[in-house]
Amino acid sequence: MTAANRADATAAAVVDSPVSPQVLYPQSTGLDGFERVTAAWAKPRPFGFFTELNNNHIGILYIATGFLFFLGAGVLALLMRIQLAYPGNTFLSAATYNQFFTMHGTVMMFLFAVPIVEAFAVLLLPSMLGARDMPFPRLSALGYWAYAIGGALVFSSLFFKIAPDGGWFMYPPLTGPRFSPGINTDVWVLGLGFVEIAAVAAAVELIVGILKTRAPGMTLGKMPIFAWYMLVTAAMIMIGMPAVIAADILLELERAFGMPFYDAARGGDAILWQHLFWLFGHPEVYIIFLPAAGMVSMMLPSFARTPLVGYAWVALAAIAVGFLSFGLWVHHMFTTGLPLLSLSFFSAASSAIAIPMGIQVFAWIATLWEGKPVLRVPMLFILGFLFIFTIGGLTGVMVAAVPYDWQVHDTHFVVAHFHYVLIGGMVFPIFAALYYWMPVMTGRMLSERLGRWTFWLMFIGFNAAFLPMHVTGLLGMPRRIYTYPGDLGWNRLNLVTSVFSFVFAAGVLVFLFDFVRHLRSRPQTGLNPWEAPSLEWKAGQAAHGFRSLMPIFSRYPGWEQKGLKDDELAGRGYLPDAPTVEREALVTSPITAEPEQIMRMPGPGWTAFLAAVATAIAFAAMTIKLPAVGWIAGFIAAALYLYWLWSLDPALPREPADAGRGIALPLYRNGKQSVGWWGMTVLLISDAVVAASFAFAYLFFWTIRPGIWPPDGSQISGFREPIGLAALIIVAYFFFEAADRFNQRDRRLTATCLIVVALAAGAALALGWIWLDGLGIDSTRHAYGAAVWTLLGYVAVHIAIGAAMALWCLVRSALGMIDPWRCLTLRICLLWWRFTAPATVLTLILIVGFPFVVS
Amino acid sequence: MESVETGPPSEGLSRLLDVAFGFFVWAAHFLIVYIATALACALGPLAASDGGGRAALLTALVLVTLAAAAIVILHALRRYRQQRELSDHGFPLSVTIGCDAIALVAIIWQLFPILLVPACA
Amino acid sequence: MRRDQSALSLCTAVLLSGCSGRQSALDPAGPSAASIHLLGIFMYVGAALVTLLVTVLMLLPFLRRRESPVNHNLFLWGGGVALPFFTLVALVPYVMTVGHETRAAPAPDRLTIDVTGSLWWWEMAYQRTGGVSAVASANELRLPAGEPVELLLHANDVIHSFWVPNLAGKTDMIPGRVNRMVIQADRPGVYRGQCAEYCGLQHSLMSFDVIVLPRAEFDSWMARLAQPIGDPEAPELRRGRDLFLTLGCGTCHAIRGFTGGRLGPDLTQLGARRTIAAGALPGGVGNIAAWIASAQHLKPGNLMPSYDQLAGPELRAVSAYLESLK
Repeated sequence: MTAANRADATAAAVVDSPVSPQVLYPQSTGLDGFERVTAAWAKPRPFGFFTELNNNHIGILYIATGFLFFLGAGVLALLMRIQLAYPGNTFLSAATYNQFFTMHGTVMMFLFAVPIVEAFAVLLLPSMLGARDMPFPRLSALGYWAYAIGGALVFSSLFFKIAPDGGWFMYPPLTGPRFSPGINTDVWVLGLGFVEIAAVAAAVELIVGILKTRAPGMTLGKMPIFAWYMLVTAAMIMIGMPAVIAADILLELERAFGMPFYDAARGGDAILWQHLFWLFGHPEVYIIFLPAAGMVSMMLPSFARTPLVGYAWVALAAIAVGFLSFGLWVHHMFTTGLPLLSLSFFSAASSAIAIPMGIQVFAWIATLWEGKPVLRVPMLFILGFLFIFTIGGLTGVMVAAVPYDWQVHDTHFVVAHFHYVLIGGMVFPIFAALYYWMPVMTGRMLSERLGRWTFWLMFIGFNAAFLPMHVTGLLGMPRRIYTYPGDLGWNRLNLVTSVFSFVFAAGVLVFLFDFVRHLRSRPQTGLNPWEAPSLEWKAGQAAHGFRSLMPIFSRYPGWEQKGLKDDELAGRGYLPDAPTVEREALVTSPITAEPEQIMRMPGPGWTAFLAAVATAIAFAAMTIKLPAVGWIAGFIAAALYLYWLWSLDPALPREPADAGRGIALPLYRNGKQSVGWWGMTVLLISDAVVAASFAFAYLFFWTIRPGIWPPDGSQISGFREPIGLAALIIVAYFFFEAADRFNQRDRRLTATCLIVVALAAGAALALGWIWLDGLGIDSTRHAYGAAVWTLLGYVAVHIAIGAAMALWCLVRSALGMIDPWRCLTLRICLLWWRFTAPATVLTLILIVGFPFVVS
Repeated sequence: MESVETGPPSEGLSRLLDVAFGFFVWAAHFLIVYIATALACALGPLAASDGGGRAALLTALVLVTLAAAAIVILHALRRYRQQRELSDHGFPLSVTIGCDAIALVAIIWQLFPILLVPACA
Repeated sequence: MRRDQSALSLCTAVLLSGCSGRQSALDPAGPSAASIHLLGIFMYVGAALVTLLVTVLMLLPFLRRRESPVNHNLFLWGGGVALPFFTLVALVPYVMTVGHETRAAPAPDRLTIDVTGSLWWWEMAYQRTGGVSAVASANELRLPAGEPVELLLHANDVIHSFWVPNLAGKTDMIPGRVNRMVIQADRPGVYRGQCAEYCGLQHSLMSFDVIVLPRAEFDSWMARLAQPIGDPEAPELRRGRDLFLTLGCGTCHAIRGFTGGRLGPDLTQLGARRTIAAGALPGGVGNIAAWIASAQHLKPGNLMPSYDQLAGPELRAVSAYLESLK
């Protein structure tokens, strides 16, 4: 039985079989059901702009905001190129130039590149997966608004001349308190904080969304290839982002409190920053590239008019890149004097990644060969991407060679290299995606004719500007210089680069003109101009996307599942109705996408937006040294978060509800199958990486001076207190486990257990403070002390949150909001303890046991 | 009422992560080799370009590499046999075996620098 | 195709117009730069071939209709796996053998120079045998031709990077660490080095001259450098020397046998240097005077204040004195 026949047969069965009378909320396949779905997902008026949470709304805002940052950072680049057009030019002062190049890099990497690829995923993935929205809409909205407001604050620092000026990767000690006493560096840390919130939120959403909210029947092997790419990307964000979060925390601790992590005079090391930053920084560029490659893989079948060749190969290549990219980071540090053996190790790894990259490129080319490709504007941009990115990848193999990198590192050669891979590998696919998916965003098509102008101006402008830069760098021009002497042979090349950068900009201008112009034409519904096979083209423009959620049996449902749209509109899929006029989604199993649960989603509201605003104001106020404002805003933010958390895990009926198509599903899951459980797991994995980064810092300091440890003369004397601490935490953890077990039988014991947890945690904190105070380890005298305080502080924060969670569960239990059935809150808090307890024990073993072992 | 916890056993986290098993072995191998060489150079036993010390480290690293390679190959073989029996889990198993293959190449590839570059230069 | 050709001809024209230069990696004057340059040429040829292959392959489907079925395995296994794999198997072992000379093991009788990067200038201290203290200079590196020289790289404040493209790749100078590098210049001449790690406001104006001399000339130069500067004869120069002391210049700047300040560059042979202020200005009495009077204007933010309160005659005297130090 073919997929199409199977779908037809099931559809017929649904219409005929009645729903069991014990099942709640019967779903109607008629017009009344359709009206309720539309009403539940309707955009609220008048403040829908701020309160709407649906991925269509947030996704478009996200893309637009990212593009605005692209334009802003692009203008900075043009101004820089004016300055560099002539030797000895005085168009920009040194201070201004340094702020401009720092902001150009920072805004492009953190406020444009990562957010815009996340944005396309937010916009497109749910419908591509046959779903209506991302699994945590408020988290999506929070991530977006935090990014938009925080990013705008950081960008505005340019107008007050307090923009960061240490380069986009901000190496200490230049960015430490001594050499960057102003708040410029703090503005950078602030901006990054927002990006980090948005990115981790996106990672949680994407992983949970891809694994748990796919259309029924869409197994891992049938999901669109973009979903594979985004799954890998989200996992990379989950593991990579925390390394830079840790580095930032340490930098801010050094700047604000004098804890000398990066200060060599006090036992720290500037190289530590480089390790932590590039551990994130290298995967970061693949976090940027993989989604773009995923979009190319989605667009190509439409233009080649044939399925992607080597789907399994491409998925495999994405996974390979995801893992291997974490083994390359030292290639940014080849000139730092590390041992040649270590460098060669990373050199080999860096070149090895050419294999999964090559697999993707040849899969795409094979797809073109397999089909009958049409040269429309998105296809032009894809060809441009292939050409430019190949060159960038090849110069990448060159810089992967250690001795070659010793010449070209920190010169315009490497600037040319990374612009080739970033503009080729991401910007060109983004433009292809904009032309391709504009009908999904605005319901209208951009102009083919103007699109060709855009492409050629951008392509010629880019290549003519950046190809000479390879030579400029080899002729000796370092990067990040605001001027150069006129007698070194760089003049003509710089002028060429500067002139053609404006040609590239002209291309972008043509695109903008086209975009504004196209908004004036009338929108057309049901547009699928590329005859594309994927599901986002079957979703309407309304927030609900699909009237009902159809089972999917093919990688190319648009081509292979006939009558899909008619069946969907007729309500023959799951959830054809919204009986309580609330937004509902289907939760499915990770591998085979069996329906598991109906998830009630939050509707539009102010919480996420206001929480983002309050958080932004709190951090910004602290950065510009207005602590009163910061504290007030912080309290408001905390109140909003608590209000939000309290609204989680609402009371829901226990009986299964009608899900359409003759099946009934629970409205609630309280264990490993719930999306909340998965979300917390992803968050805790990121948390673990932060902790591991701090532990790495501690061990790194030991390798600098392994002879004497502790190196600052302090002593970790005695095992009594640490063992007592560990014991208290283990007790707390076991009682929390017990609380969960008892909750199933006798709720009074639950309360007792939770009280013991809180008391044990509190006692541990008190004991820990007394112990640490008694040890007399100074956090500012030596990096060792700073590392010990940071590790223990981190653990203490987790224990405190754990204690708060115990009290939270206690209150909810007393109010009847936790019972043997409705216990997800308890279980998620238990997850927290399952992380905190081992983390505490391991940290104590490190701090107490390590000096003992090495002495 | 009983809490609903378990789903079909093949859907758990471990089943999902098994696809990338080869890469987890790669990551462990990478860490072991990198940390061992970094420590050996930092702590001095290799810094004196002592032939015996270098030979001992090299042998140890080659053995670790062979062990990692063997683990990955065995895993791939096991999944391959499973794939021939089952009919409907073909895709995840293909990707699993492919990941094992690339991880194997990456693991052995790391031997190049270890063998060709003088230690701690 | 049009765009291939235009890019290629642009490249060729640019390349033919001049790879040579005082600060050019494409004009090697030492064995390390030469071996890197050769590696580069191999890689460029390979990269050009791969680019051509990919471009042709991706454009063919638009130009020709294909009738026979496409061999997926050829693309995936051949292009995706075999092509990168065999290229790397050929390239990587070759790469692993290039560049070891800069990490050569220390040798006991090799000339050793301590180079220290500060904001935004360079100190070079030439170690001498026989228990004698090192001889310091600044913003200029002199090397004997044809022999390996050991450089010990220090950083005084932030991360800098030592780079002389004609001779070798760069090595960072990191606070708290001493990086060593063995460098060799085979061709006598004048080259230029520049700081290659962004180090703040005036990173762009932190360069140094590299003067490569035959060994005999190098030895005699170093002997002269080590000599204390005697009292000048001419009254104008004596006046300049006295002003140097009374204005407090000696607190920051050392002149051998006269003052011992180490906060700024050693000025012992300032008059003989091709450039001053770490490559910011060409040498000569006029520029020395300009620098003294308006250092903050010429290199804003550097640690030397502008002595713009000096009267003309005083300025001329000091500049003449400094220019006489050769």
